[in-house]
Amino acid sequence: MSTGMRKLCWGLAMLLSAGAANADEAIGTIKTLKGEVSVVRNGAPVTATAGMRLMAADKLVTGADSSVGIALQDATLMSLGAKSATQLNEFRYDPVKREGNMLISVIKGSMRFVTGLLGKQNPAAVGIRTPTATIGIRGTDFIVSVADKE
Amino acid sequence: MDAFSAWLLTVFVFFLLADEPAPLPPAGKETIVLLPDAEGKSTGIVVSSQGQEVAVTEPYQGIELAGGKVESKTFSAAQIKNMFPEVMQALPDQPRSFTLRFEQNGTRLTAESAAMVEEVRQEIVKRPAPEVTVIGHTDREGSDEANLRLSQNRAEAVRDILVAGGVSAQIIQVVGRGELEPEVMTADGVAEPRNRRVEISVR
Repeated sequence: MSTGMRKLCWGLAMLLSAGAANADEAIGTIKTLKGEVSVVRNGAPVTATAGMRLMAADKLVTGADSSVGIALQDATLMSLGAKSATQLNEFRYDPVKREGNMLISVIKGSMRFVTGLLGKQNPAAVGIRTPTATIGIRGTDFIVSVADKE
Repeated sequence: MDAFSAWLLTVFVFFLLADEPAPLPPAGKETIVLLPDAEGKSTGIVVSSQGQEVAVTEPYQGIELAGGKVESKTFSAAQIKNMFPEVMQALPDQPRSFTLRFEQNGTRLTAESAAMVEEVRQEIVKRPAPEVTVIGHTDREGSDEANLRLSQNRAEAVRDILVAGGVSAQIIQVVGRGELEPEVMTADGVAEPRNRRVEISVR
């Protein structure tokens, strides 16, 4: 094998393993669940269950009379109400260095958000978006609600 | 440019694009309400919309966004409960922390800490879909390497007690931090009872 080829293979292997490690890492867990809740991962919806692990790019969708409660790795707590759609855009938390960042989008319906360690240690690294606003936090418990377009 | 560089570039551009999430589809009225801090500390959010930035610092104060307008509004606790019943009920309990302490040079809990293990176990089993992190620590007596091993052994000893009490080993994450994170800072080589401990977080 030529040196160039070998380097290329190493590069690929490292990139792939890094990608796999990130993709496999759970960023949170579903703690409470009522009614119909699904997790959309890689474009495919899966029926959610209590205890299910969540990944960084998951989208959570709830049906009528449904709700779900979630704890993220940094002890952020979230609950989502009925007929809601929430996208986890980014989540990274290093428990040893105590640093990372998160971005969550509330597409529709309601979400309650209680800041965890990330928000306490570095509030600027936490962002919540709605269709028309962004919310910055300062150590907090709050609700975001997006009504359906009439 | 060979195929590999082109692939790398594609991935890089994809990451750049992914950094800026696509705008969300338009929706109806948006309501954002600040709730009281559980520990009674000062709290706040800053909402940016339509080029305006509004700070909310009082509990039950909120912002309504509709038709390009940004309006401040004050709610009552009862109103919030009526408007958002599911999210008020579905929020998981706050994580709870415990500290267990050890006798010198080993994995034997102090009598006082051994008596606390049952309380930890109960906190775990009463929660839905529980998860536990056990982080072991040592004092600064002994070498860094030996202390790293000892801290790991202490965390594993506590895990084993919990597993013997019926907790699934799969939900317990065990970490040893050696003498790196003393509760009380001492000079190196000092035996300090408060630093011989595991910290347990139940969520």
